[in-house]
Amino acid sequence: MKIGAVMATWTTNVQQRIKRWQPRLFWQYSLVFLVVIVTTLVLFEVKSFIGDAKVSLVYLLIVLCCAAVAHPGVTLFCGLWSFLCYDFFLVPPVFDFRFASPIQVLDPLAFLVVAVVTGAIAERSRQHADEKIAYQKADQLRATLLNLVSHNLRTPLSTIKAVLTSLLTQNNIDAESKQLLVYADQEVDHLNRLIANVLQLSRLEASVFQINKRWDVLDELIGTVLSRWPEEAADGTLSANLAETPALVLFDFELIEAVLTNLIDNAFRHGQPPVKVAVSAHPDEIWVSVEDAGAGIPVKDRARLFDKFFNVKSKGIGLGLAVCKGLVEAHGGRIWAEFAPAYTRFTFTLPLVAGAAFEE
Amino acid sequence: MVQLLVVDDEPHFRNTLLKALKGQGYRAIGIPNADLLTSTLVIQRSDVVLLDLTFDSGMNGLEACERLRQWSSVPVLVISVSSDEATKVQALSVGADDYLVKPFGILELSARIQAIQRRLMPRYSAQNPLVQVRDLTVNLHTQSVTLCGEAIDLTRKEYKLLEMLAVAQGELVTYQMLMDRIWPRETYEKDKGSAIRSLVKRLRQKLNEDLSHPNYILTQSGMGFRLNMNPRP
Repeated sequence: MKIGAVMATWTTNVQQRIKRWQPRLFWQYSLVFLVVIVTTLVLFEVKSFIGDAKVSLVYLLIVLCCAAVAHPGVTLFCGLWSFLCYDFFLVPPVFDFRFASPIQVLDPLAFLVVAVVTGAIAERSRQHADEKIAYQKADQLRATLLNLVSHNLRTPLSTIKAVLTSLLTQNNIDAESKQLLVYADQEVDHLNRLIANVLQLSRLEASVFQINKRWDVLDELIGTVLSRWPEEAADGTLSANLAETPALVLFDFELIEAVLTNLIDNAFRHGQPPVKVAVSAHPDEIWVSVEDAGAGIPVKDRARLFDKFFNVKSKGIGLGLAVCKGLVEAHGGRIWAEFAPAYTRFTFTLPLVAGAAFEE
Repeated sequence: MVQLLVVDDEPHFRNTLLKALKGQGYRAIGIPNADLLTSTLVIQRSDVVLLDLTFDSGMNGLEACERLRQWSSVPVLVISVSSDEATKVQALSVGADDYLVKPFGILELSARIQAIQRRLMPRYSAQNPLVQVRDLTVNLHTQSVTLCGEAIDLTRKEYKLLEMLAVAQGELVTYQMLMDRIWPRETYEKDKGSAIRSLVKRLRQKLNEDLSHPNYILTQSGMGFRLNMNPRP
């Protein structure tokens, strides 16, 4: 019984070995063996013409070429085989593995070291290239998938929004039903922003993320964002203090627009109105803050506020702040939250760089 | 009655939109892909085309718009789920007149259609060089601007900007259009967006605009600006 089991293991082992047997590697070893031996014989003939130093260079060249194209094991074999051939045929005493002086060990030793080091480097860079291709493929897949998802989610949302806003314009609806429709419409907008955040976050994590920083007018950006809450801006529950804004700041309009939209959206959803946006100038950065009059976030939750999928009220997925953090950090800025009994304030910074330039 | 043509491959959305538009007092018909656009327009006169950008089969919206522009100047309003600046700029550069990101409210769509209609109506001919929006009056003949009856002093570029917005009558004025008129000798680069925004900022200051709820100039993210033609501020 016992012998049978051992035999079985042995057979599977052998079978595995046969499976792993790579004909390409066998040819690489044979080729290296032949190249080194032929080179050695040629060098043995012409050694007196070209001198010792040049001879060892020829071996180094072979080892290097081998490292560039062959398997690391083959490179090591090439180094070792060169070492032996060189020592046996070309180092006096000839046809003997002994050395006349310890200095002569240096040359063949160099082949070995070069073989080991270059083999390792080549292998690492090959792995790196493989990984890069794999990453690119994954990124492409992710981008395709996300576009698909965002398109497929937004299309039904578009239909729902068209229905709701169409019903809202009809006169024969009572006030209570109208209010319900308004809530539904607001939730459609919220869902749409969530989709935008998911997309933004996945773009941030993909290696293809691009940021287009330009000299731009921060006031205009804040105005654009505030115009998304026209009623709140009109009745004063949303206001902005832009007195300290410098003429031009270097940022990506689209991305900072997303940051500010998220912060104001959060302030309305999780805080208390009025919501105030303020810009303040500091020596080497611009601070943009969004403040609401809410009591803030429970102490235990504050540390994880900017984490992905973390949400204070655990309704929906808390992506907004994670997106803000990613986008602000991509600009070289910082983002943080301050809490007081009477207000909650989120502030992000944009670095001030010298050199605003455009002609009028 | 204004006649609309909706080009969208999603049947639920298309039918809902057609019903909603009819509820707003428009006449509208729908087709499921952009390949049918030319043949439909030949048979059926349309005042505005509402064009989606992505279709399951056949031409995409951008191609369709580009081809349409070779023989027709019918206004095209793009309706698409893509909200990125690059797509907007591309759509406007192949000849679309305006761009609305899905999902949108029916009133906003209606406002955009009206803006396109207003521009096409020859109301502001040589007999009437005045464009009046609430307290703001732009005299296209004397090139002067008054706010609440008082003349305001504008630089040449600021006036040109305001004039373009006034003539467009609430329709979108794109960055490209502004570039062509205000900086005619320079080629358009993305960076010019900031120069235009700086100019708009200065014009706003002269019009005493409050940025939190702008009275006259509305920013259209990634696309350009339009004049707020609403009779009430």
